[in-house]
Amino acid sequence: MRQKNVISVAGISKQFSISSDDQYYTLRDFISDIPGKLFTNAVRKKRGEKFWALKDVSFNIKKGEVLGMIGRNGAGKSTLLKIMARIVPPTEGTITIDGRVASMLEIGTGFNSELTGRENIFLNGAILGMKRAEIKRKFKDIVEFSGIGKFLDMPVKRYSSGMHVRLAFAVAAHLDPEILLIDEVLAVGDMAFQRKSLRKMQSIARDEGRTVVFVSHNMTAIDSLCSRVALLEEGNLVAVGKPREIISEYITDFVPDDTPKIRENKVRAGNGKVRIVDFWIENGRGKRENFVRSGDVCFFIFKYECPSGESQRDVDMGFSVSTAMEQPLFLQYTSFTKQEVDNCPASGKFVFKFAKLPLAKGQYNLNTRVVVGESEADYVVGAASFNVEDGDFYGAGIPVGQNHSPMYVDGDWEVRSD
Amino acid sequence: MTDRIVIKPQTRPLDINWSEIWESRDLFYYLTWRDIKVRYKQTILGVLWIVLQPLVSMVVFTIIFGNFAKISSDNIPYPIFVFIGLLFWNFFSSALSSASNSLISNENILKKVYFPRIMAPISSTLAHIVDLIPTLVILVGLLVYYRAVPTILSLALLPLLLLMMLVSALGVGMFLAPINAKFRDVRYILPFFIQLLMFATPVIYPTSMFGGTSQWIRMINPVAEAIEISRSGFFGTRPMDWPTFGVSIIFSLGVFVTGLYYFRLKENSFVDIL
Repeated sequence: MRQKNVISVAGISKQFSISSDDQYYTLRDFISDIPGKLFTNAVRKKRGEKFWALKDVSFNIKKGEVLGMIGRNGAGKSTLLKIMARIVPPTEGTITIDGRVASMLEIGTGFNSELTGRENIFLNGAILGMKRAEIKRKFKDIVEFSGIGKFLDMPVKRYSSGMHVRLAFAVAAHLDPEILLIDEVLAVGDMAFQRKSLRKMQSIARDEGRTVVFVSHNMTAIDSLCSRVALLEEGNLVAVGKPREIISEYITDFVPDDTPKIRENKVRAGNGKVRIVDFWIENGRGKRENFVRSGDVCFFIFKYECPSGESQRDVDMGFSVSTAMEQPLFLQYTSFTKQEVDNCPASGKFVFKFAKLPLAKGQYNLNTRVVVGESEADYVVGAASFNVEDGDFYGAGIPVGQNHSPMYVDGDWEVRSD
Repeated sequence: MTDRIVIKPQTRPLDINWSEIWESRDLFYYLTWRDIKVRYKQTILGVLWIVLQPLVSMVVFTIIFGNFAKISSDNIPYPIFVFIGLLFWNFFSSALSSASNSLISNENILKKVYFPRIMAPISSTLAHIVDLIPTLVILVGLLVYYRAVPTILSLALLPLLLLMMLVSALGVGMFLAPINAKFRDVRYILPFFIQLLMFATPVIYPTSMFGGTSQWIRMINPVAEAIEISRSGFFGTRPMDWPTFGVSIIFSLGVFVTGLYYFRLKENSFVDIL
């Protein structure tokens, strides 16, 4: 039997205006801008820079489906979810939703540290859309699931962060709507808790008749939870289909092909004396590659520019790598190996050589940071992502293929007799 | 289908979805309850503070303005004269300031969940009703102590006057809340603005000090009108001025609708700014 559509997204677009220099627009700025506005449009232009976070996105979700949304940082996944949750309005388009909706964009929304655990269960439950009677009915289960027991009547400000997260998740996990919108909530807590919450999410998602929209960077979670996956790229919906197919399309699509993505990245800090504008990976023979294998010799290439056109002195370049679940793995600066750049040409490439890439199969995220002198010049969070495929790290002839942890370590075994 | 939600770019400001507000009544209850609870947990003296605060201000104001400055009080004993003024003023100003800050103080929730946005200012003003209870008890004590003979009408009007405070404070608050969310320096100007409003209101001085313009001021300042009606009614100093009261009610409602309209007009774009 064909199920009917419960969510239909029709031509959704969202425009944001970015004010790069001022996060806090004050009344004083507004008043001081008035004279400028009277004579030219210059001020308005500076502040009114617009960009489209979503461009004409349309799709339907059927009853009982679990739809995963994937895409790089800034692809518009979270914005789309926020529009579906009615937190931000779309600029164009219509979404029709049939059913009771609850959204989990973070856990512990509205937790008040002055209130006790008991009081926060009621407050947070109500904020998430539960009725008072419903919370009362589920209260025992929530407390039991959270495992906070005797701390129930203690103010939340005295909870450990672990207890805080457990209580928050316990409330969220007992939501029982027809349609559930979830954003990355699994990426909290320790590994044991993440496993527990993933299991809980699975049971929620598989519940008969419940429709779920799930945004995540965690491909394992997407693969195991979702019945269909939508891929977003720079505000456009590029593909919808079976999880395996879309995930592999997403992963192999990590080509630094068309445009340098880092150049446009808005999530950056620093004075801008040096800007990282592009990143790619080259293999041991200097050929550009879409992915690397564990244990390979490879080069991380960071193309940079100095917007002033002048060379810079005393430059320290660094990058960090974290897993798709944002677990930091390592950090590398030129200063670590005493290789700071004394005189850095106005444009060029920083090249880091891995003699033996220590990463296991998976997807990784990269942050970059450049320090000139004493001050931060450029800091880009989520600058790039890359993929690692199974490789023969130990040179033993076959890939180990471990998926226990994201790292390999070099070493040797021997047996010593007593 | 009752649970159908249609999400579109722009909603009409006065097209209010009442059933949705009714559906969210439990959240409304918990938001108000949270505001009350947190307020009394944060102050050291807690509940004692709301009893002490009006009493202490009454004593201080009586000493400064009643004894030293010898401000006229229309032959009403100055302590109860200023207490009536403070009762309305404090209720109005605290409701106004909470409503104006309601979007900023609920920022983390507004950014993560949907609920009818109008609940933020309303729930934060309603939380102040609780503060009124001890103040009203003290008022009764003072009326007995000063052997005042209030008219039945003036007592019957008291709830209506308090409602008028709430409605007008909400009106101004709903107007200021989106501005406060957009311009981050407004929150520093606001307490100053409220303080100035107090001097434009006959809290420490009688309405009669305005002379001929008194009537006009009472029409456009609901707090002035409420104070005047209560003072004259409790002590029978002046007869009830119905036309002025009528205009004052209409003015308050006008302020409320204007505030509501502006709030609804801007409510879609809050989260983009916050």
